[in-house]
Amino acid sequence: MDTNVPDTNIPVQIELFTERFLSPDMVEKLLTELAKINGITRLILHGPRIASTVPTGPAKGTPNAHAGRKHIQVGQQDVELGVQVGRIWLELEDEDVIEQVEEACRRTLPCGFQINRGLFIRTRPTQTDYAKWGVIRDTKALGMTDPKSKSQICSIYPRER
Amino acid sequence: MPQFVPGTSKVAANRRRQLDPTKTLDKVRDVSDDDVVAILGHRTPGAAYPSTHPPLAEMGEPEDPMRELVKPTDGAAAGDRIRYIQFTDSMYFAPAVPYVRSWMAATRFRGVDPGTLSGRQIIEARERDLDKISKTLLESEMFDTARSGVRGCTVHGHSLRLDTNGMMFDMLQRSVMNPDGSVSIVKDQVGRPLDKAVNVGKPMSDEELKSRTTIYRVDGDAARADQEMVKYIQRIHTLRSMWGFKPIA
Repeated sequence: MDTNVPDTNIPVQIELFTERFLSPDMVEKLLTELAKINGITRLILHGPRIASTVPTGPAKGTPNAHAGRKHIQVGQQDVELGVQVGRIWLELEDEDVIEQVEEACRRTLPCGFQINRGLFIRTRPTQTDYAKWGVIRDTKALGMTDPKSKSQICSIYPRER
Repeated sequence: MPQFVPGTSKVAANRRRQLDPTKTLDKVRDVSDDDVVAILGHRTPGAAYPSTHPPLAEMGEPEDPMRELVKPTDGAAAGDRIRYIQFTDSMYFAPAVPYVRSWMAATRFRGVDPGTLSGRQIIEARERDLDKISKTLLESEMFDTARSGVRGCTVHGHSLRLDTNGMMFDMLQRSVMNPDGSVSIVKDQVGRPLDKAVNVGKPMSDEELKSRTTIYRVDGDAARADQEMVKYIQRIHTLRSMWGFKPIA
């Protein structure tokens, strides 16, 4: 019996893993290139957090001047980077888009990179999701937020409870 | 003749050079005394050393043969506070690793309390002793401007990928690379902005880092390739597993 029946419900997701952390300018360039590709449905920028103020120690609360925390322009959208980007998770409409993404990376990235296939954005809500957001009806919003984050980054997905 | 670490590799030789107090560490840059004090952030440059007790000479200590044998350090004699310097070293061929830094502090300096954590290493000492120790370390081959950092808190970065310019990640960005390729320290070790940036020069090249590093890496000197080191580690492991801290074999 053939057990390798393709599950059409499993989305095509890839992880773009760069050899070095990317500067905000580099991220802006790459995202502008990616924005030109049809077939990317969702995208998450991932990396170590850059806090706006010093979080611990004697200087706690002092504004944290950091070149990585910067506003970038992607299309018409102004995005404030809160992380030093080292991974980008993408959800694609189909596998053919992977090649276009790879091509865009080759054109823009100054360092080596890997593209890994897998499941990086969750497909089912967790208990924390329910506790924080209630029932999430828009499945596109699922997994797009950091459940531990206290920031207002999630406000574009209003609570439905 | 003390035996510091075994091994026939370059990494083992570098470790022995850093640990052996009879060997002089290479001086690779100049950092002024005031800049060291500013980077440490414990007091204002030029200010007097605050004290935690009167000078030992005025305390009328009881007669004790050990006190006569062991001369106090300058800081202890003056009654200085105990303060610290903490380093983070990138796993991408930083010249030092936390454990070697602690051994080195114990073999090279007096009156110190070194501590090793997963990705950072702290040295505590009396304040004026610490200033001298910090200056020695910041000016020496054990510190690279891109792959090492003086970080009192928010130390994360030693095991992360580097930035595109080769700098180790630092959430507080205490040091920045200038357009000419040199690096300036712009915040003290806990993240308070400095009045004046301290230029500490250009980072070492990858080749130089690989020749100075004390980190075993498969893409550099692999630990398993150093047969002598592996043999001794296995011997110590066996002795300690079978007889604990009192080996009889």
